[in-house]
Amino acid sequence: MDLESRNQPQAILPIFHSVQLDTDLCVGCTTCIKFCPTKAIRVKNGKAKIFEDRCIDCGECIRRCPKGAKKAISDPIFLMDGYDLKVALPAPSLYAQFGPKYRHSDIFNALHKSGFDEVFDVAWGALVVTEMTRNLLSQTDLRPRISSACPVVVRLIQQRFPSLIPNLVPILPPFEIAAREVRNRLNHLSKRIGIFFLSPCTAKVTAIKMPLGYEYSAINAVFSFGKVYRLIKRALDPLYSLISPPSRLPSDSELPSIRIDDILYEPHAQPLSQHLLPIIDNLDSGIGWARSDGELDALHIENAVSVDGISNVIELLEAIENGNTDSIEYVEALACPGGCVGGPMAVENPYIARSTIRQRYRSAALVSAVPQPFLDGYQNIKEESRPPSPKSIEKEYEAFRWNKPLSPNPVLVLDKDLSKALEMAERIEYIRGKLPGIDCGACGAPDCDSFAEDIVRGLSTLDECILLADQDINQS
Amino acid sequence: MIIEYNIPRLDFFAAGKTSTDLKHRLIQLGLPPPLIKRIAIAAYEAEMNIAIHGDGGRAEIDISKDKITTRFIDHGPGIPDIELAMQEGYSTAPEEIQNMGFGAGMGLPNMKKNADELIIQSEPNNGTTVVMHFNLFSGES
Repeated sequence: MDLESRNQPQAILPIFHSVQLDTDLCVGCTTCIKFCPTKAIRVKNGKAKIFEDRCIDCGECIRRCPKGAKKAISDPIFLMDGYDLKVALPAPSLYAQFGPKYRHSDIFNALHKSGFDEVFDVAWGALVVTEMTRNLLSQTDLRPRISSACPVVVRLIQQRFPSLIPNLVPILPPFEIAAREVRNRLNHLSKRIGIFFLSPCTAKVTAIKMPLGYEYSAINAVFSFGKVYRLIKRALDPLYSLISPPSRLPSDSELPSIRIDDILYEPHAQPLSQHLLPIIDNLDSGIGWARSDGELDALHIENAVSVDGISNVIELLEAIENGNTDSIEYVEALACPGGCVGGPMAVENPYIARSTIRQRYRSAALVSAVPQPFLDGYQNIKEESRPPSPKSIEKEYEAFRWNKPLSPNPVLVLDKDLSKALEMAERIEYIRGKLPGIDCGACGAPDCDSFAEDIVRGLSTLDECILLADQDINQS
Repeated sequence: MIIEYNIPRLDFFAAGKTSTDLKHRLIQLGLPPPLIKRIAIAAYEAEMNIAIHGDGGRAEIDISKDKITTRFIDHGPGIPDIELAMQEGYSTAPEEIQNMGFGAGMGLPNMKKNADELIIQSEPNNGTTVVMHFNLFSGES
């Protein structure tokens, strides 16, 4: 290694964050700073402040803030206007937002009724990832392989576990694969095809704007479940439209206009028109990705581990980095509790959502013929546009692999110059020794170590420690 | 810069704390990830050795511009036959610890594999000191 290569990793400068602070609502209580997994929040002058270069959009602060001052920003619905063909890509967990009395096809059809011309399940992309991952595991020896489906985990690894970057599965996430598939199928129809991902996930809102492992996203916008929930619910249940008439919708001008036949729409009815993208059968193990264990159920491999909740993920990644997890083949790591159903932009309670998934979809683990079940759904699509056979997966799916190297995020590095960094580290160590070490958070930093680091980085001053100030007063 | 850690005896909840904290500091220094991983693995093994065999002890990590030296020091029973202890799969860990998934006899071999240099000083009943050197600017990282 030489000094040149040391300096190579470029800072990843986020241009956008889905997780944002509403300064007016923040009371400066320091709850959020304690739970932020990347220690990206400080309280300064009575208000929280997010270090944008450290935030990985996990949404943990949204869950913890007692005042609701942390917000999830997704794209506005009016972005749909101006596209000739509007395609909805529902995340598997969307199906868990509506109780088990509805069938998969009811919700799928309700999306058509909600203003989307076409619907294509992200679960299909999940099955492609499963197939490609199985292939990757059979062809390479590096273990454990870590799923790259959760963008929070990918960004956490870039920042805190850079040595595990090679372990990440270098395959596009399911939503991206689904979006590319839609473009391939429909591109000849129009240049103005709008693909809209319906997601419970803040980090994926950011990920389509700043992709991880690839250059551009095929998705035009991400809408939170909250933004489409009432539209779908109304289409599913005519009574709901009476309780919640269009005039009571939030920011009505943003929503596609509702025609009178939407209100007369009967649940369980067949779609009126023929759609270009038909509903796909046998997606159960792809839908299973909505909750933790879903990836493993679809993969059917021994010695795989599923971990959910960001602090549990961190603990497992530490263990992997320490090298004491030799026998593990594959790790499904999801930042949200319970998996994607626990996403910060989900509507339904995550545990009820899990139960809905379990009730509506056959346990994926019980489906014996998992390889390529999704082919069956394409019987009515012309031969040449069908997904490739397993034999040619490596070649045919080349477009679904990462095509841009993922670099470490050097935001934690004190200085590019090692001597300067060492000098700073020594000062941090010295200040650490002076601090009380009780991690009270009164200075606005999550713990004394972070405070010492902030001082050396020039972001804070020692007199902000109230315990030290108190000591000084008592001594004098 | 010298960083010191205490390693408690048989505390498996605290196990890994030293290597986790050390890793964080190495990331702050901007060292290459593969080197950080080598140090993390070697430090973890040394830490576990002290917790299991050494009756607790301490670690001293000396970081300079071209080299990292780790010293893991305990006052436990010592290693009677270092050559034997270096063999993969050789372990003197008690059965209950092996049942917990530790003590597979890979500790010292793993340290040797990951460190650029490994020196073991041990006297029966007088403890063990494991010194590992890691070069920061060797050709490979």
